[in-house]
Amino acid sequence: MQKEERMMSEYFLGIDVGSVSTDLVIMDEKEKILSKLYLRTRGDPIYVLTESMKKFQQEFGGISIAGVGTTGSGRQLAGVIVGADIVKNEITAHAAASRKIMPEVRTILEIGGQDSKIIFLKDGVVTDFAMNTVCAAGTGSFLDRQAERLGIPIERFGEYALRSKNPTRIAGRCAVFAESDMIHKQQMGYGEEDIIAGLCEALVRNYLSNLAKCKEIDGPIMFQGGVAANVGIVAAFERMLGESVIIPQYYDVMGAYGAALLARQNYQRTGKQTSFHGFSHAYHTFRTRSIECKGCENHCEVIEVRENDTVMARWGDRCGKWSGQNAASATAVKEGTAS
Amino acid sequence: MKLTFPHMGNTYIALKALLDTLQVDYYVPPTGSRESFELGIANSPEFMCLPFKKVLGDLIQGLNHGADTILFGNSRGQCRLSHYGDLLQNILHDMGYRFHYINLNFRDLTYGEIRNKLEPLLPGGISRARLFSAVSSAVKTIFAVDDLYSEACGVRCRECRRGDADLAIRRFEQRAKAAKGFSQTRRLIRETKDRLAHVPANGAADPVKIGIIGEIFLCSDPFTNLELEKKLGNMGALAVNTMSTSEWIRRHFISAILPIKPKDKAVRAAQNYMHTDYIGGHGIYTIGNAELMCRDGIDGIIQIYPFTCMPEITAKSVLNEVQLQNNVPIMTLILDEMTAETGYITRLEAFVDMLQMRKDRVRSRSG
Amino acid sequence: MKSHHGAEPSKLKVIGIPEGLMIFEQKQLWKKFFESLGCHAVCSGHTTKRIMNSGIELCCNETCLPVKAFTGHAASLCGKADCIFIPRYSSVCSHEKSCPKFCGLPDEVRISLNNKTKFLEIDIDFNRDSKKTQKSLDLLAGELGRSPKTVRDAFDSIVKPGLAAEVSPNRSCSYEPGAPVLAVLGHPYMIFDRLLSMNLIGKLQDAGYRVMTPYDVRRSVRRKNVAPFLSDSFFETGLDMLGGAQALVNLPELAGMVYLSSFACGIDSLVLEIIEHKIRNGRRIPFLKITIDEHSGEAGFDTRIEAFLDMLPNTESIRREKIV
Repeated sequence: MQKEERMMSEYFLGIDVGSVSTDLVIMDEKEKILSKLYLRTRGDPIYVLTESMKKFQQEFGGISIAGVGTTGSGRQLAGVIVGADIVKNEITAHAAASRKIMPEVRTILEIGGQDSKIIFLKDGVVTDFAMNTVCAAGTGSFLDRQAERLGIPIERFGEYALRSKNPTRIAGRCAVFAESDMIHKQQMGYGEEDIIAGLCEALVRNYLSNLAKCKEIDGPIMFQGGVAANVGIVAAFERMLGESVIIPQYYDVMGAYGAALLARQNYQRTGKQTSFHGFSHAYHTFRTRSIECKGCENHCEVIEVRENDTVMARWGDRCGKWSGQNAASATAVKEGTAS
Repeated sequence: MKLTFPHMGNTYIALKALLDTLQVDYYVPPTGSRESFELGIANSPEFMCLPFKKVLGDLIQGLNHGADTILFGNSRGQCRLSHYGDLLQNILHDMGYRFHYINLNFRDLTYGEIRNKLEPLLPGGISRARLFSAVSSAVKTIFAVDDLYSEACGVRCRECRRGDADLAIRRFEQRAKAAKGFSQTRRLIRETKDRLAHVPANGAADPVKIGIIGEIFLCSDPFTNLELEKKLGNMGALAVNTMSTSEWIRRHFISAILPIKPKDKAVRAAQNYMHTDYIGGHGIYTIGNAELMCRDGIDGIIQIYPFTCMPEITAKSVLNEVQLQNNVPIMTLILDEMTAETGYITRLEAFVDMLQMRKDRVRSRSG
Repeated sequence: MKSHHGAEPSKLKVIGIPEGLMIFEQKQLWKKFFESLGCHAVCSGHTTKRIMNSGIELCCNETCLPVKAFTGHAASLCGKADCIFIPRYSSVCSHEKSCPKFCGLPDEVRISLNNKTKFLEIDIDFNRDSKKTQKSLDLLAGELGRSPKTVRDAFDSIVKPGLAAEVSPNRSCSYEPGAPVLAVLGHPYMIFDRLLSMNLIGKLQDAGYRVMTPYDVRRSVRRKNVAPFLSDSFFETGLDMLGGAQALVNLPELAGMVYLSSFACGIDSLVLEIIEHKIRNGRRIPFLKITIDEHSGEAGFDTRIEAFLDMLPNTESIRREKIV
């Protein structure tokens, strides 16, 4: 695309701050992805977020952003830092993205780093969903850990799994038990390929039994999230569901894409000017700290976000004593969650 | 003699006024206290239900603050509540506390039962008439408080400025702690209602309506249910709670003193799914209320119960069928002490979004 | 009661009896009951891996392992019987009650199996309302095309005395004085089911111990040994555990206790605490609590048992004995 063209049109920014990865997407008016970033959060969402904004600044500094949407477990924080127009939960964001790519999609499987979800749609409307945040055995982090333990890069996990003729059955409700069972199988002399294929099957089995029990899984089925890159998991899903699974081109940034789409929808509906602070805003210093409020017996842990030396937002309190004082930037966040 | 009692939602407001009237010395454990909760968790068996842990925590706080008498009770139902008393006493004794335990029979909570159990606490004794009037006032107060909270739900989802209803309720809770006796409490409730009535509301708002069903302690206790009603309201949804403390009073106190026991509408509605009138606890009402609300037109239903709750697990096994028959989404939230609030909020938000989308679609089709 | 209406009596010849939960103990009673009414009774047999897996598939996640197994048993009878019989065990005698899951079991299984087959129910609720039983027996009589009196008589003579029998049909072993004993506590349909218990009793016996369970103690002794509690009724299996444990804990040969519980069992959470409280404040017996569910691996299970046995004081001598 020509630089001039870029200057002419309007763009939308979608940000998905998860516990394991932070994904950003810049989308044009035609809802096409112009650029995407997929980075490890590594426990420091602010750093990752500001660094990626700086990167965008260098590349797309001049473009006009008409709307910003944030999602993921760090959506509130990201919303305050960049100045979001809409702050949405991951389920709605993922559904929005998949619906855009394939309007007739019926089931969305999503496996992220720390949680996993399943979303059911009919005629583009979410009809049911389930989300698992407790059990680590159905998440990407579990696979990462096991890959590390076996000394095999996670990227090659899939091909190992596909080579297995006879996957080992690995038991375990949670990651801890599954891990001990895997170690046990390893010591009993099972082959690496079979153990890896067994792990993939265990993850899919756990995922389906936790999230999709007693539910009709209809096609088309879309599989997204970082784990969708793992061909072993894809194969296990297809085997257990008896149906092919579609991996969208931007499987790893679907949450961010959904947030961008929602931001555009919001812009079209309200016509409001964006609250986006601009890419260069990332050069300010942001700090967060937590304060234990001693105002009542609840002892809420209040999170405070500061930009340079001014307080931008506080949240985490139950009574509203702190979050009630939030500045205009935070009001947008609240409106976003409430709409 | 100093009395203490555990919290269940906002019952303490009425109970405090009752004890003021009876001139009993008491200590109210701190409301919404994380510290009490953690004390309870640390000293409870791992798989005991969440309400037990909360109750134990409150009692430990009470005993630590000079109370020597515990007012609680037990039911006779097919749920572990019937045995809270035994277990609480065992655990507190093992922890080295010495106390007197007053055990109210929740299943048959008549005036006679209350009089028998409370009279020994009152040095001068009490006349039948005075006790009757005090207990009646307490019951009325419980109903009034619940009414206030459900009114707040109605206001919260329609308010123009987020936080107005919350602010009114927060003021109420702060002042209720200092209020003495029934008349002060009643005045406070009236003032708060008035305040709520004057919150500027968005007349065009048509909030999605979400019914709350499930285990009664969790449904009625904002601390343990992570302020479910408030969260839904602030997401713009109208919460209709079927399991409030007043519901409990209606089932256990009013029905105990009524000469004729009317057939319960909810129990009858549940018969489509469960061919019995009792599955322990309030399980059958969970099913029945879900069915009734579906018939009356509700956008979605949330079932909430503590991890390992036996009656609610039994009820849940047929809720999927209720959902299919009525085409109303039912989401189940199972809480334990490890429940992460962020995941909880995400689920609620996604549920509200989903219901809103469904509602918009129906509207766009019909319009 | 939908399931009781509009059936051709002649069609209900073969009755399927799922061998799980309370029927695990009482299948013989029900078998005799139906046979005396001229029906043929088919039992589902031992729990197999296949039964277990189909139960896990069919049930909602939150329910316990034994209910999942039971549903699997019921599913395995589809096609083999004209109808499946599931009694609603709310309480088998006054002042005793069952787990709430038993109260909703017929409905839960019917819905889990998607109304695939016909179901027969009998209400057993002697604590709250014994008239319910009569009513449900009359309905059953209609279904089977027998007179209500025949069915009531058959129930009263065959089933009723066995519901709260003094001596349980499942007993672990003969008791020889002097030998070290391990007490195994748990619901009968858990500890006596080889698959659900991962053969716990067999493994302990193989390790050279004599195993005793509450069901080796007469029912009246079990009841007599329960300390008083506040409520006027208690869970039936809970009483068995509390009274049984109290009776066994006084045996001089007792070396340890193992409590086998299914994950998140409500009754066990309560009973375990009371038993542990007793042990803390009385004879301090080595106590092992094992929780299992469908995700448990047998390797971890075995490790824990081995470690527990190694911890017991007179392990050495038993092991030597076994080698000889």
